[in-house]
Amino acid sequence: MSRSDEVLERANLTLERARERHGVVAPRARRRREAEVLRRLGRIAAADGAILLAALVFGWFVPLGLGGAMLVMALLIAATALFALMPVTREVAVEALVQAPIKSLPAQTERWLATQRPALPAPAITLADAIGVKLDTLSAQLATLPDDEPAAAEVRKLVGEQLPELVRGYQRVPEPLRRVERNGRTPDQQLVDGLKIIDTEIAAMTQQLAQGDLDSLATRERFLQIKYQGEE
Amino acid sequence: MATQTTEEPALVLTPPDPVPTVAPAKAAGLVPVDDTKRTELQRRVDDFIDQLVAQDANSPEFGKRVDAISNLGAREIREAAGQSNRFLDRPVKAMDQESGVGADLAQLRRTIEDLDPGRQGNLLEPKKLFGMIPFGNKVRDYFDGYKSAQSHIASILKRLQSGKDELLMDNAAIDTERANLWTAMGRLEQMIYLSKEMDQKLEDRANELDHSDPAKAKAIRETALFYVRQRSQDLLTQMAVTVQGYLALDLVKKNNVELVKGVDRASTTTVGALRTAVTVAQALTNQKLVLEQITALNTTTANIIDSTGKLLRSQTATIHEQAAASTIPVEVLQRAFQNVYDTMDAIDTFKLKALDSMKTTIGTLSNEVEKSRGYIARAEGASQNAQGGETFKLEAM
Repeated sequence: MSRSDEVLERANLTLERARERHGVVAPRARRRREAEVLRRLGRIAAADGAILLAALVFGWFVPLGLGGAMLVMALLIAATALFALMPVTREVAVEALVQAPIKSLPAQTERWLATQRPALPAPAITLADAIGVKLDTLSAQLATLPDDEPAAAEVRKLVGEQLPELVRGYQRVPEPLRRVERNGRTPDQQLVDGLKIIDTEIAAMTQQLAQGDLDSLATRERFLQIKYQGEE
Repeated sequence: MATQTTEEPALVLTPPDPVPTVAPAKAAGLVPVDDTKRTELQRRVDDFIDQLVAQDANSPEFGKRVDAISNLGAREIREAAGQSNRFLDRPVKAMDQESGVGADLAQLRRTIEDLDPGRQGNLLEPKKLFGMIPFGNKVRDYFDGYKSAQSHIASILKRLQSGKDELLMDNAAIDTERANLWTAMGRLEQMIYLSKEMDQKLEDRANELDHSDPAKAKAIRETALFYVRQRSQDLLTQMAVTVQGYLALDLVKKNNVELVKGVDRASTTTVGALRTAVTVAQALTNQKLVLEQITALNTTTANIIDSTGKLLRSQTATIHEQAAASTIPVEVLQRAFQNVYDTMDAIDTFKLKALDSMKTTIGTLSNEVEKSRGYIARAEGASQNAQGGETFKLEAM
């Protein structure tokens, strides 16, 4: 391999690593952030519009004067600042995950997992993203699942307890010890393998939950064949 | 006699035979495993055994791999068992006589019996008040009975059609279930193949080790080989239950197909009898018997059941001929009614026999399912012990 090739290769690897860490910062997280910004801008526009309208109507009857104009200005600034900062999006606490209703549990876990990304080793980040995508699908499926269904309890145990416990357990291990081999395996490996199992389990749950719908679709299609094409 | 030509071929509904007990020893090999999968499974077994033999017999790594064997096929068994819980639902539901098609057929029979010309006495005899004074027309009254019964019959026939759709839907669901079962059986079959390979190769390897490392040979025989044989038995038992369930579903399906035939025939013969009545009424009393609801239904029925529909159309022509020519048209009508009765009797005898098959099947099936419960519990326990840790790819593809 020539030298330039080598340099190119190394550059590519570095780029890839950088992309892994920051580039694709879970597009869903970015989408969420954009939606939040839009929501806040909307609120600010509504509040400022209301203040201006009130000032206009008030000024129709009583002249506002310089003091009034200043007051309106102050109000506008205050409202803008207030709505830009105010409803602070709270970080999802792990303790809250246990009590979260099953419908919003995957979404909350996903948000929590996204905030944990920087603290995870590189291979675990890819896995965490994959789990995030699967949680997205799961959330849509759980929308119609009652809370007391046994399947719901299974999901809660895996997504609400096991997953956060695994990640937190890893984080409690002091940084330098994470790459030290113990009984033949490092904590890094254990985290990655644990996440792999959770990843496949979530996929299995998605499939299990979809089973009924898949079956009824297949049945409907088969019925059409039997009834209208005379197959037996 | 001319009426012979109107006779349709007798309706024969064959009840399917009950599902036999499948012996676990014969359960394997029913679902083919293709060659690429075989080689892949062989490779997995070789890898696994190489790794196992490479470990020290007392090391935790060796123990972990033996655990993997005791857990062999747990997922496949769980999958197949989950479906076998639903096996029994269908035959039991199919046996439920008092609902759906059965009830409608009984009601149709009662309604038809009320119209039976054989039960009216001599229709051609003049009707007399107090047995002496001639009063009204018996035949005319009789055919008036059709007009009042027609909406009732039409609604029963409509219900029969939707009952038939339900049966077809049931069959479609059975097909889906059977497709799922087939996949589950394929995976079980792969595991059975894998466990047999494992059995053979472990045995060979233990024999080789007898001289060089007798302690390891003993460990392999007492732990690994022991668990492999236990799991083989479990897999075969589950396979037997699943195969039986698969066959039972087929039984229910065949049953439904026969029942659909019966429903079709009952509808066409009924409509046929009513059409004959229309013609006979024309011949006997010169009155035009208008049964719009039935005629409308007739076209739809005839369209749906094309083959019988054709039969029906050619029949009408003959009936016309006969009713005009025959001196005794009532007999023609009588024969049409007999057709309906024959159909219903055929359905009744079919149902009785089918019920027997079904009961036998449910008996054997619940026995087998009961037997398999024990090791499913064992498999559950084993899989809970083996949470986390390395996975050894001892599963079907």
